[in-house]
Amino acid sequence: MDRWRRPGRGRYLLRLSPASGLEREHAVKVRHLVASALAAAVAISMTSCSDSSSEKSGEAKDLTVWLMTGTVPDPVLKDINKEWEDAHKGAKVKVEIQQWDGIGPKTTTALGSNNPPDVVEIGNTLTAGFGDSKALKDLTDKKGDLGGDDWNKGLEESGTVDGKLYGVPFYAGTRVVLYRKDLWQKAGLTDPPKTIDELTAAAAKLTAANAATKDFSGFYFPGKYWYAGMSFVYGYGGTIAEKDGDKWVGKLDSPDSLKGLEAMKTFVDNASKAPKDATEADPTQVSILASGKGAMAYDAAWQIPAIEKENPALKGQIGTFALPGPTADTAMPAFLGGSNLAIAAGSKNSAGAYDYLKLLATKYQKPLVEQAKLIPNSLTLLETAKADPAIAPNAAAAENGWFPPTDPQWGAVESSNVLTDTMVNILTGKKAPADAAKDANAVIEKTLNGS
Amino acid sequence: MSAGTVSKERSSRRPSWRQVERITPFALLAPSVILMALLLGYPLARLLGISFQQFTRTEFFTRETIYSGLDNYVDLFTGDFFRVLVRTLIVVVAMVAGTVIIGTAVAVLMDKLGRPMRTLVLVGLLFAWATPPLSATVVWKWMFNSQSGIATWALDVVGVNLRGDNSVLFSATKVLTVVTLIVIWQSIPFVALTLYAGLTQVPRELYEAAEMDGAGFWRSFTSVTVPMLKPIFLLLITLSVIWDFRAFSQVWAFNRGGPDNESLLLGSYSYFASFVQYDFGRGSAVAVVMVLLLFGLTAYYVRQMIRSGEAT
Amino acid sequence: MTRVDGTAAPVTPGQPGTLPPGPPKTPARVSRRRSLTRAGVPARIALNLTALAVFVLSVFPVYWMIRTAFTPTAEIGIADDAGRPSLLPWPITWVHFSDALNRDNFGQYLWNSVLVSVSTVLLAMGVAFLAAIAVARFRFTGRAVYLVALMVAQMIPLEALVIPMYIVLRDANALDKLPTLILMYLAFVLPFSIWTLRSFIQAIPADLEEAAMIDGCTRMGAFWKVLFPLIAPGLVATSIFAFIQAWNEYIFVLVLMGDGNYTLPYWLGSFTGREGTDWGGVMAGSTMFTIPVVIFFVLIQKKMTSGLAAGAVKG
Repeated sequence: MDRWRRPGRGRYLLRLSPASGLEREHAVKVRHLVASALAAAVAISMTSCSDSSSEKSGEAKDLTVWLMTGTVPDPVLKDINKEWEDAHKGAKVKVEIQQWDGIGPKTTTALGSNNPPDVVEIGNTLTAGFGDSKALKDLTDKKGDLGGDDWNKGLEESGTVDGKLYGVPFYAGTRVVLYRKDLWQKAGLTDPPKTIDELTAAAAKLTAANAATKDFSGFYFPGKYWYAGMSFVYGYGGTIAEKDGDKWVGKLDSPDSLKGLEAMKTFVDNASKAPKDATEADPTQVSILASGKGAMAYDAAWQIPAIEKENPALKGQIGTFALPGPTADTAMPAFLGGSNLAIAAGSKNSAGAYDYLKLLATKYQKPLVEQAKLIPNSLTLLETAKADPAIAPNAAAAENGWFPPTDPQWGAVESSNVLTDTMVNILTGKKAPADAAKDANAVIEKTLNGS
Repeated sequence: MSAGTVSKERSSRRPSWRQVERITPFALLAPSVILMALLLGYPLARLLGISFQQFTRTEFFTRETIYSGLDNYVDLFTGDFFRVLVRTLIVVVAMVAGTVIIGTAVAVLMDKLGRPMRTLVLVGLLFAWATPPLSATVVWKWMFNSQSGIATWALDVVGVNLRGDNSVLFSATKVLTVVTLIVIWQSIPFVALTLYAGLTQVPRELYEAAEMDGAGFWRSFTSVTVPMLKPIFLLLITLSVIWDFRAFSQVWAFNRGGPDNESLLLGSYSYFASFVQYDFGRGSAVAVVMVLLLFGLTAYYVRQMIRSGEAT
Repeated sequence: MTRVDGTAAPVTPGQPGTLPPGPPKTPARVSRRRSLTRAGVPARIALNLTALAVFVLSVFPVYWMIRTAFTPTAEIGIADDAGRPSLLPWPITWVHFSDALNRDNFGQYLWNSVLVSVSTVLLAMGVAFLAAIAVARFRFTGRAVYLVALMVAQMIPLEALVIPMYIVLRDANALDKLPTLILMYLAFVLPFSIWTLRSFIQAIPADLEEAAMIDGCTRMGAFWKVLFPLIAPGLVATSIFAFIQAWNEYIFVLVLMGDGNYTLPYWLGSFTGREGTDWGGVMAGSTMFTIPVVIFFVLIQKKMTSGLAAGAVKG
């Protein structure tokens, strides 16, 4: 994927390798001069001189691990650290918990520092970008050792670039339908729906039973909710884009994808009064369910405690079921959001890093499932997860979950708003699904193929 | 011999510290020059260099240097660039005009108020100024929310419908109007406070003289206030143009440049290049182009301001 | 006296025996109040009503932010049946504020923010004042170049500067240290501060300093004793600006600092997580973020303007 080299595009592409001559030497000299001036300035004003170097010659090296907030429960983390430190006598693990906001630039600069973190948890939509830009170690040959044959293929895809494994699947979370049992019962409904048509009928019943509440939605589906929209596309057998040789081809206008988009429009028209200009984040679906503006919403099961906190009367009143598909035998595929684990290319302790990564990716998957209720990376464990009623619907949705095209430029596609715009155009009726899909394809292809 | 220096001193009309005068400006400037050279100048030089390189995350991690000539610049001008530029210019004119005109009015108001009311206005302005811009944008977005916004409701009462399909978020014009209001709202405090500070320095006697000549409020404003505060006015207008031209976070936080990317402003190129595509070479080229553009827009005023100093 | 733009201005004879003709010594404040009562009650009322209107318009969005901070999440973004959200937060909840305060490291980030912002402002005012004197009161080669460079420095979009700055500081081993942040913010606010202070200094005739020097002051002494108090309001406006820049800055903190060295904006970012955004928390955090700044500057403003009156009378 040497797209960024753009061979033949530049009039002259002068590549200075580390071994070349005078120019680089001069630049280095200037850089050092300024750097020492700066260093002097800073040193003069510095008050503390702590040095967190992880190098100890001759002994076991320390380890820096970056985990995202809310992933690994504290007791599990303690166990992992202890096990690693016992196996590496004399070395210490420093776990830095990172917050999600701004994690892209943060991880970028951290991986480019002189002392990058050794093990890094990276969101799975971000991994391809880092793998492709040579920030991470190639772990392809370790796949067997990490139980790679048993991995959920959707998760594995997100960490693989050009056939090389840079991000080891860590965990995923899926969305399910959260529904208010009290409103459900009041409307005279009993069993969870098995098909999308049944769901539409249920939503209509709920809307009728709650006609007194302004803007009430049987199923709350805001216009910009592309994660939900794409679930329909994948659920009817379509996809966002496919690789044809070296180039991506947009597939939103394929017959199957269009079936999905049309089914989505029908569903939303009949089931939801949610504003077409809103995302699923504002207002939060927690607010919608807690305040009773909607009876159902498509969200992650870990939102349930938040809903109960907001409206204590709803304790135990929020149930879950997987978003039903077109037929009764499969659920609508859910987006497999999650994280991968990677080792920094510049890590000073890659052996120790690998040991830690292995613990997170194999031995401690089970506690993650049990305590944090996350979808594990292995299909075997997924089966056992299905037995746990708390995450059974999530597991069902994860079995054939979907993941956007794995490409370093996918972030640019999301930021270009093509998907939310397409959703809004279809749902407000501004464009017919076929036209909206065609226009979307053009943008997606342009962005992914870097033209 | 000393004769020469003595006659020099005698012939100058200023006291004998003229020798010192030659050194002092540089001594006074030294701290700022050193600091800015190290922490602004040097990174800027690197930025300029990077703009001529292919510099994506890969080059950042591998620390290679790959020159690509003017590629980054050429890439920039293909596509929507000029349309976005025109859109930005229009929006900036509206923002600057609104800020300066209303800001001046508020400053004059503050000048004429008694102490307690002036403090009230000051506190109001400070609140608007100190609110983090992103939080402010979110609040304004809520106020204009098509289902639950307080401003939407108020406008509904007077007959302006922003609900359903008329939602602010479905029209780039409406989005940019509200964003302009947000920027004006947050920029007025600085303009008002700075002008007010300047107004307090205008000698009272000048106004009294104008009054005795029969000048009303407007006349004394244009013949006393504006000339006295001309340097400050020029500066505020120039700075407003520069800052508003670069403003982007409000547009992004409001509706992410939608609908259909029709409300994107020029600052988006910089943001996209640096934090979405992680194409730092391109981002640097964008920065250079923006500096050149802004310089072109404000060169006349900058020259005026520098010249004005020479009359002293 | 000669005005900045070269025209002549009427001059009041100064007090006998001390200074040559110059601007009046009576504080502008006192004479203004006299003319106001002359203007009459209706004008007074109109002015006060306008002031009230300005206050309400400035503050309403901020009020909305605070009101949301006290609103339970279940009610945020929800309107009643008339499509109108409630003007008052109901039911009132302290949950967002207590959540926000209990976040990890809040105290540490608060301290870092205060330290960095106050240091930046103090240093910036000092350095900028000196530089502004130089460009406003002296003529020297390179003056125009310096000023143009300062203006150009403000035209650069900061996002583009993140990576070059990172590389420079990484090579200098200056990453993850608070003094680095202070010096960097200093460099960011200096161009604007120098330009603004220069404008204020230009509005004050040099005769005042010259008069003081004839009386025996050194040049620097004249600057400090005469000029500094007179541009106090300008210093206040500039320092508020510098403070807010440093206080609100996020992206450089995110990228250049590490655990323990973050500032409040980083804390504000923690309200957006995997579960979506905690809007109540964001608003509570923003409220806590904003109020100290306002209080601080109202106090400073009072001190500075009373200093102005004193300085002018002393003249």
